[in-house]
Amino acid sequence: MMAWKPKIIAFTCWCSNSGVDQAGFEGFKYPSNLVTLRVPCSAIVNPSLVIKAFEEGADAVLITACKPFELRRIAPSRITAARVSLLRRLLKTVGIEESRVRILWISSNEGEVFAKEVSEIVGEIEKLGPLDLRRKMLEQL
Amino acid sequence: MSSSEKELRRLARRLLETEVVQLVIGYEESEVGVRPCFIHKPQEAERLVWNPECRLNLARYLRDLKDSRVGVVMKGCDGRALVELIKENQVDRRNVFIIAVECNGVYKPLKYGSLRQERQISEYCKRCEVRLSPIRDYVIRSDGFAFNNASDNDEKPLNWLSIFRKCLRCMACIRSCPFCYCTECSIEGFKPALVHKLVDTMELFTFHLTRALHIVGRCVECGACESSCPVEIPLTRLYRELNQWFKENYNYIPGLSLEQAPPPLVFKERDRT
Repeated sequence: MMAWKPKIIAFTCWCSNSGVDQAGFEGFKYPSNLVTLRVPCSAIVNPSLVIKAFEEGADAVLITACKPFELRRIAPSRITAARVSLLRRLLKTVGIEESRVRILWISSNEGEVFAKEVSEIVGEIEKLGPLDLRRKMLEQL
Repeated sequence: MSSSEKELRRLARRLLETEVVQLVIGYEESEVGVRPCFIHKPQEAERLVWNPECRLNLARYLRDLKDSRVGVVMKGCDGRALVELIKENQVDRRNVFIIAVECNGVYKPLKYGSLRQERQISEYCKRCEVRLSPIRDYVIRSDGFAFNNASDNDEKPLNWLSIFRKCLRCMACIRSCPFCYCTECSIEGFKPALVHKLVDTMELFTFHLTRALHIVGRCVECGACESSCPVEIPLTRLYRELNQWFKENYNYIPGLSLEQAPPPLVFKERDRT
C-alpha cells in the first residue's frame, strides 16, 4: 500500500500565483501534493467551494492572498480574512480541525517564502492525518 | 380563551374595520395545532388564536405582500427577523403594522402518536432572551401559559457530521426560513450543482455548511427550521454557535436594532486585516 500523502487544494490569487511561479523559476522545491487553482482575486473564493473541496476529498485548503498593506484595494483581503476566520469557526463547530483551512499572505516576488511556508503546512497536515470525512459521517450517532 | 387572545381578536377587527390595514396575518386553529391564516374581513377576526403552538415565523410572508398594508402578529423572534428584513430592504416598515405579542416560549412540534399532554418548551426558547418584538406598534401582554426559564446548561457537544446524515433533503428548513428568499438559491441553482437532488451522504455536509454560512449574521434563532425539520436536526444550535463569532468579532447580534448595520455591509477604512 502506498504511503498516505495529504491532498491540498490551494486557491491562489493572480498576484500570489506569480509568487508560486517564482518559486518554480528560482528552483525552490515545494511538496508536489499541492494543487493550485488560479482565481482572479482571493475574495472571489466562495466558502462553499472550500467546503465542497473538503467533501470531494481534500485534506486541507490553502488560500493565498495579497498582503493587506501592499494591496491597492483594502477590501478583498479584509473579506478573505473574515471569511476564513468564520469558516474555521464553522469547521471547529462541526468537529473538523480548524487548521485545515489556511491563509497565506504572499506577494508576487516571494517564491522562497511560499516554498518554505507550504512545506511547513504540509508537515502540519501530515501530523494531523487524513480528514476521512466519509468515515466520520458514517459513524454511529 | 385567554384575555390576550380576546385582545388580539378585538384589535384585528378594529384594524380591518378602520382600514388601517388591508390584511391581518395570524394563526388559526387546525387539526394538527395551528396554521397561519390571512384575514381580509373584520368578521373573520374571530378565527385568530394565540397559544404556545404558534411556532411558525410569520415574517416569512411579508416579503410577498410588499404593496399592501399588512397587520401581522409577531413574537419576539419574528420581530427580530423583521428587523433584519427591513435592514436588507426586503420589507417596508411603513406598510407593516406590528402586533407584538409577548411570547413565553413555544412547544416542540407534536410527534406523531404522542400524547397532547406531554408538551415541552422548545430548546431554542429556553435560550431566548427577547420575548417581545424590538419594533412594535401595539403590545399585547400574555397572561396564559407559564414559561419555564430553567435553561439547562449541560449542553453536550454534538456529533454534527453524523447528525447531518439524517437529513432527507426535503428543503423544509429553506422553505420556512424568513431569510432564505434568494430567487436563485445557491444550493438548488448553482451551476454546476453544489448539491444534487440525489441523496449522497457527502453532499449533506456541503448542504448544511453552505446553508449555515448563508444564514449566519442574520439568523435570529427563531427555530423555524428546527421545528419544521422532519428528522429533528437541531439546526438552531449550529447557527447559534456561528452567531457567537459575529458577537465576538463585531459585537453584533442580529435583529436587535434598526440602526446597527450588518457587519458584512459596513466598510471601515481602518479595517485593514
